[in-house]
Amino acid sequence: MDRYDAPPTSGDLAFSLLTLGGLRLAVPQADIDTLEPAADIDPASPPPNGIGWIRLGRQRWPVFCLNGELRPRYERPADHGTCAVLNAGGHAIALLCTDVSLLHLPAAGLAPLPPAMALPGRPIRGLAQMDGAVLCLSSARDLAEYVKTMIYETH
Amino acid sequence: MSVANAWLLPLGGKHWAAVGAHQMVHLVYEPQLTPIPLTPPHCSHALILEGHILPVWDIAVWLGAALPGRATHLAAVVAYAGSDGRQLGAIQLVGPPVRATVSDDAACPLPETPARWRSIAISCFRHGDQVVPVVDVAHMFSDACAARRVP
Repeated sequence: MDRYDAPPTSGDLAFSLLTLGGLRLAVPQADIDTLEPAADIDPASPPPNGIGWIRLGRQRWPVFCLNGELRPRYERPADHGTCAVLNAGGHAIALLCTDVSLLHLPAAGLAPLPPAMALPGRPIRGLAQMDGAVLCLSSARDLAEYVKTMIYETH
Repeated sequence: MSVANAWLLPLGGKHWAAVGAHQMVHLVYEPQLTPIPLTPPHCSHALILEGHILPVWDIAVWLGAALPGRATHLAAVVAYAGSDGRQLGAIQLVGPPVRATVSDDAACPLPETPARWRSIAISCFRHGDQVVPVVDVAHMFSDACAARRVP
Protein backbone atom coordinates (compact mmCIF):
# COMPACT_ATOMS: atom_id res chain seq x y z
CA MET A 1 0.00 0.00 0.00
CA ASP A 2 1.37 3.44 -0.91
CA ARG A 3 2.60 5.22 2.17
CA TYR A 4 0.50 8.26 1.42
CA ASP A 5 -2.67 6.18 1.44
CA ALA A 6 -1.95 4.12 4.50
CA PRO A 7 -3.24 5.55 7.74
CA PRO A 8 -0.52 6.52 10.19
CA THR A 9 0.28 3.93 12.76
CA SER A 10 0.67 4.59 16.42
CA GLY A 11 4.06 6.19 16.99
CA ASP A 12 4.15 7.92 13.60
CA LEU A 13 4.74 11.66 13.45
CA ALA A 14 3.26 13.94 10.81
CA PHE A 15 5.58 15.97 8.60
CA SER A 16 5.41 18.09 5.52
CA LEU A 17 8.03 17.13 2.96
CA LEU A 18 9.41 20.14 1.09
CA THR A 19 11.33 19.56 -2.11
CA LEU A 20 13.88 22.32 -2.55
CA GLY A 21 16.07 22.02 -5.62
CA GLY A 22 16.55 18.29 -5.17
CA LEU A 23 16.81 18.42 -1.38
CA ARG A 24 14.04 16.68 0.56
CA LEU A 25 13.46 18.56 3.77
CA ALA A 26 10.86 17.50 6.31
CA VAL A 27 9.36 19.88 8.85
CA PRO A 28 6.64 19.11 11.42
CA GLN A 29 3.29 19.38 9.73
CA ALA A 30 2.10 21.77 12.43
CA ASP A 31 4.82 24.22 11.36
CA ILE A 32 3.14 24.78 8.00
CA ASP A 33 0.55 27.55 8.14
CA THR A 34 -0.62 27.35 4.57
CA LEU A 35 0.40 26.54 1.03
CA GLU A 36 0.03 29.27 -1.55
CA PRO A 37 0.56 29.24 -5.31
CA ALA A 38 3.80 30.73 -6.52
CA ALA A 39 1.77 33.02 -8.80
CA ASP A 40 0.69 34.96 -5.70
CA ILE A 41 4.23 36.07 -4.90
CA ASP A 42 4.75 39.82 -5.21
CA PRO A 43 8.28 40.21 -6.58
CA ALA A 44 8.49 43.96 -5.98
CA SER A 45 11.25 45.12 -3.62
CA PRO A 46 12.18 41.62 -2.44
CA PRO A 47 13.72 41.15 1.01
CA PRO A 48 17.51 40.60 1.20
CA ASN A 49 18.29 37.18 -0.25
CA GLY A 50 14.59 36.68 -0.97
CA ILE A 51 12.53 36.72 -4.13
CA GLY A 52 9.41 38.56 -3.03
CA TRP A 53 6.54 38.68 -0.60
CA ILE A 54 3.39 36.67 0.01
CA ARG A 55 0.38 38.41 1.47
CA LEU A 56 -1.88 36.67 3.98
CA GLY A 57 -4.69 38.88 5.14
CA ARG A 58 -3.20 42.15 6.26
CA GLN A 59 0.32 40.85 6.66
CA ARG A 60 2.98 40.03 4.18
CA TRP A 61 5.79 37.58 4.69
CA PRO A 62 9.16 37.26 2.96
CA VAL A 63 9.56 34.52 0.38
CA PHE A 64 12.85 32.72 -0.14
CA CYS A 65 13.95 30.28 -2.77
CA LEU A 66 16.71 28.00 -1.49
CA ASN A 67 18.70 25.58 -3.61
CA GLY A 68 19.59 22.01 -2.68
CA GLU A 69 22.42 23.30 -0.50
CA LEU A 70 20.06 25.70 1.29
CA ARG A 71 21.74 28.71 -0.30
CA PRO A 72 19.59 31.54 -1.64
CA ARG A 73 18.52 31.63 -5.24
CA TYR A 74 17.53 34.97 -6.69
CA GLU A 75 15.34 33.82 -9.54
CA ARG A 76 12.12 31.87 -9.48
CA PRO A 77 12.55 28.48 -11.20
CA ALA A 78 9.69 27.54 -13.46
CA ASP A 79 9.14 24.20 -11.73
CA HIS A 80 8.78 25.74 -8.27
CA GLY A 81 5.05 26.19 -8.04
CA THR A 82 4.23 26.03 -4.34
CA CYS A 83 4.97 28.49 -1.57
CA ALA A 84 5.03 26.90 1.88
CA VAL A 85 4.33 29.46 4.60
CA LEU A 86 6.00 28.39 7.82
CA ASN A 87 4.88 29.70 11.17
CA ALA A 88 7.94 30.38 13.32
CA GLY A 89 6.01 31.50 16.36
CA GLY A 90 4.66 34.99 15.80
CA HIS A 91 6.28 35.59 12.46
CA ALA A 92 6.42 33.58 9.28
CA ILE A 93 8.65 32.93 6.33
CA ALA A 94 7.76 31.33 3.05
CA LEU A 95 9.82 28.89 1.05
CA LEU A 96 9.27 28.38 -2.65
CA CYS A 97 9.25 24.66 -3.35
CA THR A 98 9.03 22.27 -6.26
CA ASP A 99 6.62 20.17 -4.27
CA VAL A 100 5.12 19.83 -0.82
CA SER A 101 3.62 16.56 0.37
CA LEU A 102 2.48 14.94 3.57
CA LEU A 103 4.57 12.33 5.27
CA HIS A 104 4.33 10.13 8.32
CA LEU A 105 7.52 8.92 9.87
CA PRO A 106 7.96 6.53 12.78
CA ALA A 107 9.31 8.39 15.78
CA ALA A 108 11.80 5.60 16.37
CA GLY A 109 13.35 6.23 12.95
CA LEU A 110 14.24 9.86 13.59
CA ALA A 111 17.80 10.64 14.60
CA PRO A 112 19.50 13.86 15.68
CA LEU A 113 22.09 15.21 13.29
CA PRO A 114 25.36 13.45 14.20
CA PRO A 115 27.66 15.69 16.28
CA ALA A 116 30.39 15.46 13.65
CA MET A 117 28.04 17.08 11.13
CA ALA A 118 26.53 19.80 13.32
CA LEU A 119 27.53 23.42 12.81
CA PRO A 120 26.09 26.27 14.87
CA GLY A 121 23.23 28.22 13.36
CA ARG A 122 22.40 25.63 10.71
CA PRO A 123 18.82 24.53 10.22
CA ILE A 124 19.24 20.78 9.72
CA ARG A 125 18.64 19.23 13.14
CA GLY A 126 18.01 15.63 12.34
CA LEU A 127 17.91 12.87 9.77
CA ALA A 128 15.38 10.20 8.88
CA GLN A 129 14.96 7.47 6.30
CA MET A 130 12.41 7.13 3.59
CA ASP A 131 12.47 4.55 0.81
CA GLY A 132 16.09 3.77 1.53
CA ALA A 133 17.16 7.39 1.25
CA VAL A 134 18.16 9.94 3.88
CA LEU A 135 15.83 12.86 4.61
CA CYS A 136 16.84 16.05 6.37
CA LEU A 137 14.74 17.28 9.28
CA SER A 138 14.25 20.87 10.32
CA SER A 139 11.57 23.15 11.76
CA ALA A 140 9.99 26.49 10.99
CA ARG A 141 11.86 28.08 13.87
CA ASP A 142 15.24 26.74 12.74
CA LEU A 143 14.67 27.76 9.14
CA ALA A 144 13.50 31.24 10.15
CA GLU A 145 16.56 31.65 12.34
CA TYR A 146 18.83 30.43 9.55
CA VAL A 147 17.29 32.79 7.01
CA LYS A 148 17.88 35.68 9.42
CA THR A 149 21.52 34.64 9.81
CA MET A 150 21.84 34.19 6.07
CA ILE A 151 20.76 37.78 5.62
CA TYR A 152 23.34 39.08 8.06
CA GLU A 153 26.14 37.03 6.54
CA THR A 154 25.72 38.49 3.07
CA HIS A 155 24.88 42.10 3.88
CA MET B 1 57.39 -6.26 23.04
CA SER B 2 53.67 -6.15 22.34
CA VAL B 3 51.87 -6.30 19.05
CA ALA B 4 48.44 -5.19 17.93
CA ASN B 5 46.31 -5.90 14.91
CA ALA B 6 45.13 -3.00 12.82
CA TRP B 7 43.38 -2.15 9.60
CA LEU B 8 45.25 0.24 7.33
CA LEU B 9 42.87 2.51 5.45
CA PRO B 10 43.89 4.04 2.09
CA LEU B 11 42.47 7.56 2.06
CA GLY B 12 43.75 9.04 -1.18
CA GLY B 13 46.49 11.57 -1.86
CA LYS B 14 49.08 8.97 -0.69
CA HIS B 15 47.69 9.11 2.85
CA TRP B 16 46.90 6.09 5.00
CA ALA B 17 45.33 5.89 8.47
CA ALA B 18 44.96 3.02 10.90
CA VAL B 19 42.20 1.85 13.21
CA GLY B 20 42.23 -1.07 15.60
CA ALA B 21 41.28 -4.37 14.04
CA HIS B 22 38.23 -4.57 16.30
CA GLN B 23 37.08 -1.09 15.30
CA MET B 24 36.37 -1.75 11.66
CA VAL B 25 33.13 -3.74 11.57
CA HIS B 26 31.97 -3.52 7.98
CA LEU B 27 32.98 -2.52 4.49
CA VAL B 28 30.46 -0.92 2.15
CA TYR B 29 31.00 -1.20 -1.61
CA GLU B 30 29.58 1.57 -3.76
CA PRO B 31 28.06 3.35 -0.76
CA GLN B 32 25.03 5.50 -1.48
CA LEU B 33 26.02 8.80 0.04
CA THR B 34 23.47 11.54 0.64
CA PRO B 35 24.87 15.07 0.83
CA ILE B 36 23.59 16.96 3.86
CA PRO B 37 23.58 20.73 3.35
CA LEU B 38 25.50 23.15 5.54
CA THR B 39 27.68 20.51 7.16
CA PRO B 40 31.49 20.49 7.48
CA PRO B 41 33.25 19.74 4.18
CA HIS B 42 35.03 16.72 5.65
CA CYS B 43 31.81 15.21 7.04
CA SER B 44 29.09 16.29 4.67
CA HIS B 45 27.46 13.00 3.69
CA ALA B 46 25.45 10.26 5.36
CA LEU B 47 24.75 6.67 4.42
CA ILE B 48 22.25 4.06 5.55
CA LEU B 49 23.48 0.72 6.85
CA GLU B 50 21.08 -1.88 8.19
CA GLY B 51 18.55 0.72 9.21
CA HIS B 52 21.07 3.10 10.79
CA ILE B 53 22.07 6.51 9.43
CA LEU B 54 25.83 6.97 9.62
CA PRO B 55 27.92 10.12 9.21
CA VAL B 56 30.72 9.72 6.67
CA TRP B 57 34.16 11.21 7.25
CA ASP B 58 36.54 12.03 4.41
CA ILE B 59 39.94 12.26 6.06
CA ALA B 60 41.65 13.31 2.82
CA VAL B 61 39.37 16.37 2.68
CA TRP B 62 40.20 17.12 6.32
CA LEU B 63 43.89 17.01 5.46
CA GLY B 64 43.43 19.25 2.44
CA ALA B 65 44.44 16.42 0.09
CA ALA B 66 41.09 16.08 -1.70
CA LEU B 67 38.15 18.23 -2.65
CA PRO B 68 34.86 17.86 -0.78
CA GLY B 69 32.16 15.76 -2.38
CA ARG B 70 34.47 13.50 -4.37
CA ALA B 71 33.06 10.18 -5.55
CA THR B 72 33.83 7.15 -3.48
CA HIS B 73 33.48 3.45 -4.14
CA LEU B 74 34.29 2.11 -0.71
CA ALA B 75 33.63 3.06 2.89
CA ALA B 76 34.86 1.49 6.11
CA VAL B 77 32.31 1.32 8.92
CA VAL B 78 33.92 1.82 12.30
CA ALA B 79 32.56 1.36 15.81
CA TYR B 80 33.39 3.56 18.74
CA ALA B 81 32.14 4.33 22.22
CA GLY B 82 29.90 7.39 22.02
CA SER B 83 27.90 9.22 24.66
CA ASP B 84 24.96 6.91 23.99
CA GLY B 85 26.93 3.70 23.91
CA ARG B 86 28.26 1.94 20.83
CA GLN B 87 28.07 4.15 17.78
CA LEU B 88 28.92 3.64 14.13
CA GLY B 89 30.47 5.95 11.59
CA ALA B 90 31.96 5.56 8.14
CA ILE B 91 35.28 6.61 6.60
CA GLN B 92 35.70 7.07 2.85
CA LEU B 93 38.42 4.96 1.24
CA VAL B 94 40.05 4.84 -2.18
CA GLY B 95 40.81 1.13 -2.00
CA PRO B 96 40.40 -1.93 0.17
CA PRO B 97 41.84 -1.83 3.70
CA VAL B 98 44.93 -3.85 4.54
CA ARG B 99 45.26 -5.96 7.65
CA ALA B 100 48.52 -5.46 9.53
CA THR B 101 50.18 -6.53 12.74
CA VAL B 102 51.98 -3.64 14.38
CA SER B 103 54.63 -3.94 17.05
CA ASP B 104 55.78 -1.35 19.56
CA ASP B 105 59.11 -0.83 17.84
CA ALA B 106 57.32 0.45 14.73
CA ALA B 107 56.13 3.56 16.62
CA CYS B 108 57.23 6.88 15.16
CA PRO B 109 56.30 10.56 15.49
CA LEU B 110 53.27 11.93 13.69
CA PRO B 111 54.13 13.51 10.35
CA GLU B 112 54.69 17.27 10.54
CA THR B 113 52.47 17.80 7.53
CA PRO B 114 49.62 17.91 7.03
CA ALA B 115 49.39 19.52 10.44
CA ARG B 116 45.78 18.47 10.79
CA TRP B 117 46.84 14.93 11.57
CA ARG B 118 47.45 16.20 15.09
CA SER B 119 43.76 16.89 15.56
CA ILE B 120 42.60 13.35 14.85
CA ALA B 121 45.56 10.99 15.40
CA ILE B 122 46.68 9.53 18.72
CA SER B 123 49.82 7.74 17.60
CA CYS B 124 51.74 6.73 14.52
CA PHE B 125 53.80 3.81 13.22
CA ARG B 126 55.89 2.83 10.25
CA HIS B 127 54.63 0.14 7.94
CA GLY B 128 57.13 -0.56 5.21
CA ASP B 129 57.88 2.82 3.69
CA GLN B 130 54.58 4.30 4.88
CA VAL B 131 54.01 6.44 7.96
CA VAL B 132 50.54 5.56 9.24
CA PRO B 133 48.76 7.66 11.87
CA VAL B 134 46.33 5.86 14.15
CA VAL B 135 43.13 7.90 14.22
CA ASP B 136 40.93 8.48 17.25
CA VAL B 137 37.59 7.47 15.83
CA ALA B 138 35.53 8.57 18.84
CA HIS B 139 37.11 12.02 18.67
CA MET B 140 36.55 12.29 14.91
CA PHE B 141 32.84 11.51 15.21
CA SER B 142 32.32 13.87 18.16
CA ASP B 143 31.67 17.57 17.63
CA ALA B 144 35.33 18.42 18.21
CA CYS B 145 36.26 18.77 14.54
CA ALA B 146 32.95 20.00 13.15
CA ALA B 147 33.46 23.75 13.26
CA ARG B 148 37.09 23.82 12.13
CA ARG B 149 37.53 25.02 8.59
CA VAL B 150 39.46 23.08 5.99
CA PRO B 151 42.76 24.92 5.33
